[in-house]
Amino acid sequence: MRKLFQADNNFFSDLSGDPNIAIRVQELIQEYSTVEAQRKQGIKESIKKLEGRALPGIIQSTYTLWKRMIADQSLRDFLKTTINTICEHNDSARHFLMRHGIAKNPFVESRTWLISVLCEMKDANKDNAIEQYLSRDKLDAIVMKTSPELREFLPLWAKYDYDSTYVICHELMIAYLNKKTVTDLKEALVFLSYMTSRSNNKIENAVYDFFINIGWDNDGYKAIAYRNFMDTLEQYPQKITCENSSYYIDALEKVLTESSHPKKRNNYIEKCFVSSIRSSLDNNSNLLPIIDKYLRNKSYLVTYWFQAIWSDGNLKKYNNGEYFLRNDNDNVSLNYARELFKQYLLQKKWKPQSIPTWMNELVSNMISEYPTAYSEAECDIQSIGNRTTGYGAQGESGRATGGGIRKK
Amino acid sequence: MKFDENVLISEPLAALLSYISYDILNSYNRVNIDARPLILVYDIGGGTLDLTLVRLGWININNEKNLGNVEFKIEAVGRYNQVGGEDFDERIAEWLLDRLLEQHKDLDIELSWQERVQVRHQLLMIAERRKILFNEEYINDDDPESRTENVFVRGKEYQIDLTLCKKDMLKVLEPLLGQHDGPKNCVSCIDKFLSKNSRLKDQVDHILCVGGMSRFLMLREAINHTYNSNILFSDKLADVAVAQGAAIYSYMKGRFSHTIQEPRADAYYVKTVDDFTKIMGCSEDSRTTDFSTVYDSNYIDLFIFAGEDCKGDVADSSIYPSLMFQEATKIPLGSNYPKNTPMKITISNTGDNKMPSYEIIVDGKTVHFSEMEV
Repeated sequence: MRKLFQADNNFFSDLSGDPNIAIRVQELIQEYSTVEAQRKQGIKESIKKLEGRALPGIIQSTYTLWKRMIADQSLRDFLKTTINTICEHNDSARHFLMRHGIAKNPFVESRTWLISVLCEMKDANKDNAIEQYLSRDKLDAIVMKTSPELREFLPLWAKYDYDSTYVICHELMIAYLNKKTVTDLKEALVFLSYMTSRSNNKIENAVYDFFINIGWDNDGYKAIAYRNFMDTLEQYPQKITCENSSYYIDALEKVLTESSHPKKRNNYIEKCFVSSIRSSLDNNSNLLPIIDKYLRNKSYLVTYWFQAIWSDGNLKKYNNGEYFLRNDNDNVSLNYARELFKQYLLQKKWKPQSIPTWMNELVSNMISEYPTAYSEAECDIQSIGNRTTGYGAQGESGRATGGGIRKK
Repeated sequence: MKFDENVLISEPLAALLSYISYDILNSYNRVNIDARPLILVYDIGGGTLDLTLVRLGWININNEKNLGNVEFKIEAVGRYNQVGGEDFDERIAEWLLDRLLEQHKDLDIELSWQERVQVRHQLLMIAERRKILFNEEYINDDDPESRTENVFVRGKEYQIDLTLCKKDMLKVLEPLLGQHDGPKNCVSCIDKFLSKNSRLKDQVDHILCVGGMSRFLMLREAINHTYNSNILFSDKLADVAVAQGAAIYSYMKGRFSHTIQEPRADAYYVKTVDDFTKIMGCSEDSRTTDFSTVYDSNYIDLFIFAGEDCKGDVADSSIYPSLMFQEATKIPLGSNYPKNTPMKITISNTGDNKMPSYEIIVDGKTVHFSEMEV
């Protein structure tokens, strides 16, 4: 009953709230940094007295007086406490903070700070209010229009509404990929990682779209820049798990299947898949049989599979090669055996000491099953110096090729 | 000019036209136009208070002294005074709530959102009635009568004692009428308005009080007490002055081709990396401002703010608190432009609707054209 006249939805219907009060609050905040302690206390009291009505002015001051605020830690601390107090028992104020402080706030610095204020808020009702807000206001549409860099906010948001968070991450990933620079690639990889780490079947689309849209802007070719681009892909491995591996593999195989490269190669996939598999296996060796089993039918990705698992030490973790044993006489198994032989022969040529005994035994057994595949693998190894490179790689012309166009 | 053509005029100016017309027509001569008086129009209604400073004079001193010969020179227009009768009602309703809780201890309970709306509505209705009644008592210098009304909370009836003497009312309305400056103070806002426009209160010859809330005698007294100006008020015109003035203006435009130039309340600024740069002042009809891009990019972020006018091209920090965010637009440029590419923003008023539109020209090419969002 005592809260009968506290600021409500009506008051918070637009950014200004009550413009007179908003201007007054901004005046007080501007004055705060320039006055002595006693007056500072007076300013604090005046703002506190306004209760929820002060919030629009506080939010606007992060738009207009940010330079002053960033230079004054005590002012920021005071405003943070005030926002907390205002929002503590006032759903309308919390919604206002979400809408105008975060979702519709076009200024990155102010938004980042307000997100941190919201995230650190110690209020039992906060989560409930955010949930209500997200379900009611279609935040994804608002964010896409005004604030495309809300990464800090995504974990909190996703907690309540993963579907709309996914939509945003997906759109942002593609937007960054289309810029085709190393910096933007890193951003896109962060969004891809965010989506793949959620172990959701939707990642199939995300991974597919990532590799369909990826491309390095080869206008004005520079070898170093290209190497940086490829290194970046290697440096941000995706987290492949027991739950998401099948979706991840399906997506990559789909991209390779649709590729116009004669040998269905794609160096972006190679870099990314190999580093992702290596890092994921380092963390969870149980993945190996799961992925290997799933890759049986994937004619193209299997090439990179052996490349990935044949890294130093990886194969020595396993006691035998039962996962890799094939004896079906079909094209898929033939292809699988050929790729395994190829990697084995390469390894034998350059790093024979890395081959475990069980692998030598496995290959001996499989040669009798797949003699043709072994011969083909030997031919491939001999002609390795002449092979063409995958799309998106440095081609014979010395320029990066392919990628970057999405099929409609 | 046809008589039935739509024209726009601000409410304070319409009210002033109506008042001056009334004064001339009835030969009251309360405003001596020969002396080129400076008039502050104080138009307070249910929810807003508009302040406008107007210099009156004769267009041609030798011509007939009728309304068609009066020059209305608008010197300044105030902005953002969201204060009016409803704020008075709310202050009284808050006082009623305190009384209710004092008189009925069992009411100190947590209400649902719906219940809060219902109780608040009842209290605001009672407050409005009490305000009108109090004004009548105050004008007639009557002693406050002992009064009660009933409020329903969760279906139960509660009686509140509404007896309110002048001293109590002054205390209740202190944030609106008192000496202490506050964001909703209806008296001190005049001072701020005048000082922002480099005027002293002694320079104002009359304060014309119009709008429904100007009937509240305690308010007029507070203004008179502080400014000691010659208050102009007509009970007859308080509610109808704006409508009447609009009709008069429409007639004048048809009869004398008389147009009154009114400045806007807001100047417009864009946020740049360093400051807020003015793209249109209050009295300007159009303006072109030069900028340059700061990044190598294929889009620009445009952030528009409305605020008080400033003398220079860049807002000084005293203007910052007045700035209100208007819109943010990401404008695609079609292709990549390098850092330091020249860019112009041309802003202009389009016709009578007073809504400025703006055009963005990058490297000599128009990339965006839009009407300002409000």
